[in-house]
Formats: sequence, C-alpha cells, structure tokens
Amino acid sequence: MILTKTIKEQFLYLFADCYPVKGFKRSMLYDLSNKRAHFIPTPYFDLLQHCRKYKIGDLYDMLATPTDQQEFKKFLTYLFNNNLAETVDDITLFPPLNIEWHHPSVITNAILDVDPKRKKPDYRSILEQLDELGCYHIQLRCYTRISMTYIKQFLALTKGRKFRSLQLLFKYDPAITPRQLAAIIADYPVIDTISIHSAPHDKLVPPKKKEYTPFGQILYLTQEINSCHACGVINTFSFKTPDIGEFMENKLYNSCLNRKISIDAAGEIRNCPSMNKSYGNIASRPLKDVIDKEEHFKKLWTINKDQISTCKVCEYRYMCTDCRAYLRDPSDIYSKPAKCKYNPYLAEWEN
Amino acid sequence: METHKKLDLTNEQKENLPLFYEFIMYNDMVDHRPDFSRDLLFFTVEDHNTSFPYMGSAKPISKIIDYSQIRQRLPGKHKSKKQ
Repeated sequence: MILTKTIKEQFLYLFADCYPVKGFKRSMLYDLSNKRAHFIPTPYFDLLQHCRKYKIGDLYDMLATPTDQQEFKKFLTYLFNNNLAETVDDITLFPPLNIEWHHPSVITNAILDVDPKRKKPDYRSILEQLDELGCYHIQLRCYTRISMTYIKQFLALTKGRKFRSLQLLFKYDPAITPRQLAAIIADYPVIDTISIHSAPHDKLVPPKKKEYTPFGQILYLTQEINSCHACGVINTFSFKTPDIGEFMENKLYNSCLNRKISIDAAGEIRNCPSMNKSYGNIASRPLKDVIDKEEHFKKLWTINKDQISTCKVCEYRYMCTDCRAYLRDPSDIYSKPAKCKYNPYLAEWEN
Repeated sequence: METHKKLDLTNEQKENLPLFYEFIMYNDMVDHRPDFSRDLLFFTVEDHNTSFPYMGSAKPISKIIDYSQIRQRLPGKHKSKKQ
C-alpha cells in the first residue's frame, strides 16, 4: 500500500460497528455487523485509540522505525481489505456508537430444571409469570429420563404465550423415538433444539428443510449430564461473535445472568440453578416479587467482564458468556470462571 | 441520474440491520417461498395486534453442553475451531 499525500492528510475511520478489545497478550477487533472477530497485536489497539485525534500521516510519522512504518501500512491494508475501516476527511462526522443497552423485557431467558420423580410444579403459573415478565427464551433441563407425556403436558402450556424459543434437554431414553421428537417439533414451532444427553452416540438431526422453520434440530449427545454441576463450560465453542445488541449487553452487564431467572428441580428460585443462593420457592413466592424486592438478585446482573479478575484483560471477554456459579475462588464473586482454561496473559488454552 | 444506491449487503449484515429492513424486506422475500408457512415462522399476539418471529436465543441460555467434545466426535463437516 502506498500512503499518498491525500491519505496522509485523512483520518483513519474504524467503522463504528468495529470495536477493538484490548487483551493482555493480543487484542481483538470485533466486526459486530458481520459477526466476525480479528486478532490484532495489542500495540495496534493502542494506535487505534489515537486515530480519531491524529491524521494517518501523523500516526505514520510517530512510528519509530521503518519496519514499524512498513507494518503499519500492512495493518491499514488489512483493515481496508476486510471492510473494517475507511479513510475520511472529517472524522467528527462519524461519531462512535453510544455504549448502551436496553430491553423491553424484565426477564429475557429462564432455566427450568425438572425432576420427574418430584411433585410437578405448577407450570401453568410459572409460564404465565414468565410470559408476563416478557421472557423470550426458556430452557427445560432434566438430568434423568422423562416421559413424552410429561414433555407434551409442559409444551401444551406454552401455547398462546409470547415465548420465542424453547430448548429441551433430557436423558436418552430408547423408548422415545426420533419420530416422536419430530412430531412434537412439528406441533410446536417454538422448539429451538431438543438435546438428548447420555445417548449412545453423538448425532445432529437438522430441521426438516421442506418445512421452512427457523429451527427445530435434535442433538444426541454422549456427554453425561447428571446434575446442574455440569454447567459453566467455557471454551471457544461457547463463544459467539456478538452483534451490536449482544455486544452492548455483554459489555455492560453479566453475559450469563443478566435478566435470567431459574427454578431448580426443587422449585427454588435462583439466578441460575447452579448458584447457591435461593430466593424462595416458586410454590410460595412469585417471580416478580423476587425481582422487585431482592437487591442481590439483580446485583449479579451488573457484574460485567471488565470487573472480573483475569477476564478483564482477555480479548474474548465480550463474546464470552461467563459463569458466576463456578469460580476459581468461590469466596470472590469477581473471580475468574473455574471452568475457563484460557490464559490471556499467554494467549493460550490449557490442555 | 442515479437517485439511490443499492447496498451490497452480506447475509450477516442483513440479519443485523435495523428492524424495518429485517422484518419488511427480508420477510417479504421469505413469503414468496412456495413452501412458506407463516405459522411456523411467526406467532400472533392479539393483545399487541401483531406477529412476532420465533427466534433462538442470541447467547447460550446455559453452558451445560460441552460442544467442543461433540464437534470432535461428530463426523465430517464439524472441524475443530481455531482458537
């Protein structure tokens, strides 16, 4: 790339939806509209912080050696080729995005843990309450086998509600056939995924293409899930490059617990079933009462990645969905998730 | 004289553009699919006098499934992810 006199007189405009995230060893550029992430050397993160103040020529002249200048030109070429930046005459005409996030729902997602051997909770009431709170997504999890009758009775209660997706997770039972599962997916287009753990093989059954549904896949897993203690898995497969809305939420709030509510198998209301603190039993306390009156319940929503030790220097921090239940130091709510094996100081995954 | 410019958008950009684009233009195209069934894509809420799309959660509701193990075991197209 040749830095002409014209380009040197211009500003480098990193598009507003391209957000650099500083890490300790390396940094990342989140392309939020295209949902892609690019690793960048951390010195370039620092350089990008100056591109609204200094023209490209000024930045170029600040670099100490011809090698640095050569690398800078390569970096600019990379940004332009990947549609991450453009040159502009007046940078003030391109303001950065406001960092804010709002949502009309009091609760956006809920986890319901089920134990078919216990007395069945009043699902009609629970689903009605979640509907009133504006809950979009529900995950029903069962660590043991569950009957199709139980599932169908639950699903019947979701009809007429404003839920946008429903995930089911239960233990493999040879008595439940793929045909039966396909039938309930056909009856309930709200079903996002049916995951069946402890299965004899791993298999993904994609949605039927002839019926244009947004989702409806069946996932057989050999992974054995015996309790909520299996939760909190963090690896690159639990990451997803966020769009603008998801990024803002992750930056400002806890990417797992924000606007989440859970009811464990015993009916205890918690932030998530793996958290120790219960806010009462669903049989005697409405969900809204917990949200309105329990300050600690909502306080956990606000623990963002910039407050968590180690995570705050991790380049993945705004695409990671965190875990506040299983911590390296259980006495410190701001400690790193116990099941995350990434070391941002070395930019390496353990094992 | 050209009065407007047609944007060259990728599918990812279309999915993330503001509501008016996604729900008027994108769904308008879907509507013309011969196998399109509106009931499978939307649910109607009479209180709001409108329809909402079914859509999955943008983030994992829980992280109880270890997808890294599954991807390694599933045959064929699921290659390991670069880290």
